[in-house]
Formats: sequence, structure tokens, C-alpha cells
Amino acid sequence: MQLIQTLTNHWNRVSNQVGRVITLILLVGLSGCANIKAAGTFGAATGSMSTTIRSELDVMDTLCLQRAELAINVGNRDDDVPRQDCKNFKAAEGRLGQYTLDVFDALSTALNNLADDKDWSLSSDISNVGTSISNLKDKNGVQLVKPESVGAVDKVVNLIADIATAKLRRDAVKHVIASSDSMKELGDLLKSFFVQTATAPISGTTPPYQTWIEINQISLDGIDAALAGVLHKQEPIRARELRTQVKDLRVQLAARGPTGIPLRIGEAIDTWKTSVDTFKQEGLESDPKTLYTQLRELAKTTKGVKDAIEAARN
Amino acid sequence: MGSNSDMPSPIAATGDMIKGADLQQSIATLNARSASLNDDIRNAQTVEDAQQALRMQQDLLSQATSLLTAQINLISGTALVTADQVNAAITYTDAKIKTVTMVSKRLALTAKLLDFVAAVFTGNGTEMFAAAKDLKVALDNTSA
Repeated sequence: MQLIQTLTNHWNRVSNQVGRVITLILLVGLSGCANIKAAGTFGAATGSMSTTIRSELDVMDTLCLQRAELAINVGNRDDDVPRQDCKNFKAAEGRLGQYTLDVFDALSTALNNLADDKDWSLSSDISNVGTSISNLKDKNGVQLVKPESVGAVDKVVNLIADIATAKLRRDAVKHVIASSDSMKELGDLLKSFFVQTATAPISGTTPPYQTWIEINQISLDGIDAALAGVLHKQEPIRARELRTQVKDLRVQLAARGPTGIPLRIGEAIDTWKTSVDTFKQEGLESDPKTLYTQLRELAKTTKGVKDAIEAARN
Repeated sequence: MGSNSDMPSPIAATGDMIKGADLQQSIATLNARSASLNDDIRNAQTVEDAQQALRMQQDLLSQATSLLTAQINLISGTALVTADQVNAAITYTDAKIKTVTMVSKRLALTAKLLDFVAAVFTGNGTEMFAAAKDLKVALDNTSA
């Protein structure tokens, strides 16, 4: 909009016919200017969703290690198999995250950079050129370019630079839009970790997240059975303390049942996928109303995930 | 002839792939066996018996976890291919930003060139030499 305003002001100043025609061409050329801020907002919403899902993976790793410590202590193990299992699971999560969440983060950063005027502003460099022009003097020290003309050259160079960078930004947005189907596919793959999906490589099976919950629940049931049985008879106070820890972990796992946190994560990913579609349709429009509405919805569902994770912690 | 369970497993052929559903069956079996140990653990008469059963349960769950990580790797393998496509778009965006940096460098170079021209106009050898030196430094930095 600032650029349009600059051009309009320029229009008012330009007196000759040729100048007006050139300005008109520029105005027409920019009328379909992409709303780069919308790309930035979409990037930020993507980053927020990714961060929230990552935080749940972190909680899973913590819960796994807490349960592993109990399994090692109560089972009187002389190895660290349960701890190692958690590490292996975390490594597998990391690989999945590398090809999904890390990509979303990179996308978020790229779109934010695209929308960040700081990265695209050439004004300081242009002012250096202006200063150099004003330094042009003949050997008698007389300035070759009048000060008022230096300002005019500055403005024209600024204008050209703005148009050039706007085109570069539009090209970048177009490329991001072109990869929207791949983005949605990554969303589906990530979703298949948490909830059942029709198209995932493991479709028709229990999602890994829920299998992980089941493994941890069985382990906690076993630990609790030992603490409630013969171990309770031998060391009642210690057994009671440890059972309290088991109970806390069970509550946190219960919040992660099929209708709890994973369902919310699935909803957030679905909303994000719809946002990708809307971004594809409106990403280059100057007033992407539906996209903004959709991104508000995404912010709401992401907050729903965050709140559910927080509630499970308490 | 032995029973089916005595038969050696068939050797994998080209194109054979592990599917998530194949792994799921084994995970379910391991989990069910693990869960069935809970009664033994609860009713154990000695601490040693309870702990031994608990360790066995954990070992079964460990096997299930190994299969679970294999399932996750199946998803990651598919994601790897798709991630490459999205990463290409991200790389393109970064390249565009770098293009702006190049434009910026060119403008800075233009400024240095104009400074040099201004120095040439003065006819002052010292100023010309200093400006030429600045221009050379700017050119070296641009190509770096």
C-alpha cells in the first residue's frame, strides 16, 4: 500500500504525458500485488502449530523416562533397557520430526522472512548511492548534480528497488503455494502418528502415539501391581510413595487417550491443512479475508492443543 | 513334516516391504502377553518373583517398543520424500532473499564507484588513490 501511495504521489508530481503513462503502467502492474503480510501470518500460524506439537513430543519423552526410572527401580534391574527404549523412541520421533515439524519450522521462518520488511529494504543502500551522487563535483568543487535532483534520483531508484523486491516476494510466495500439496501430505503423515488416517503408510493400524500410551500404561499397571502386592508388605511406606508417582503418571497418560490430546492435535493439523488450501487460493490476493478467518481458526485449535497439554500437567 | 510354526520363515524377495499393519499384529501380541503378567506380579509370593515377572514384562514391552519405532520409521521414510519437495520451495524463498542481498551489494558498489568518479573529477591524486583503494576493497568484498 505504501508503494501505491508513493506512486500516486508521484502521479501528482509528474507533469508530462510520458511520465504519467509510465506511472499508470506501474500502478496497473501492482494492482494485483501479493499481500506479503498474509504469507507472514500463515508462516507464524504454521510455526505456532509446530511448536505446540513439538512440546507434546517433549512431554511424551519426559513421561517415558519417569516411567522407565520406576521400572528400573521397582524391577531391581541391573540394566537400563527401559531407559534405552525411551531413547530409541525419542530418536524415532526425532526422525519423524525432522521430515515434518522441522520442515514446518523452516517454512514458517521462510514466510516470516518474506514478510519482514527489514530483509527486503534497500533504503539504506540507496541513501549511500544518493550521498555518492551528491559528492560528484567538478575539479573546481562545483556540485555536478543539484541537491534537489539528487532527491529525485533517490526516489526513482527506491521505486525501482521496491518493484523489484515485490516481484521477488511474489515469485517466492508462488513457489511456496506450488508445494502446498506436499505440505498437506506432510501434515497427514504427522497426523498419522497421533490419530488414524486413511492414507498413511501405517493406515488401518493403531497410531504410534496410542500404541506408546498403551505400552506405558501396561508398564505402569505392572509396576503398580508389584507395589501393591509383595513389595507393599516388605516396604509399605516406600511402596505407597512410589504408587503416588505411578498414579500421577497414569493421570497424565489418561489425558492422552484417543479423545484427548491426540484428537486435538489431529484437529489442529486438519485446520492447518485447510489453511494451506486457503493460502493456495488467496495467498497472492491483496485482501485475503477467508485466509485470515481460517488462520484465526487455526490459532484457536492450536490453543486448544496447548490448553489440553497444560491441563494434563496439572 | 512339522507343524507350521516349525517351518522356516520365507526369505524376503525383491519388492517385499514391511507394512505397518504387519508390525501392528506383533505389537498387539507382545502387549497382550505383557499385560497378562500383571496377575503374576500382583500375586507373587516373594519380592524376587514379583521383580522377575516385572522385568520380563518390561522386556516384552521393550520388544514392542522396537517394533513401534520401526512403524514410526515407515512414516518418516515417506515423509522424507515429501519433505524434499517442500524444502525445495523454502530454498527458493531463501535464494530470493539472498538475491536482495546481491542487489544491496550492487548498490553499495555503485556508491563506491560514484565516489571514485567524484574523486577523479577533483583531479587530486591522493583522493583518487584513496577512492580507488575503497572501490577495490568493495569489489573484493562483493566477490567474496
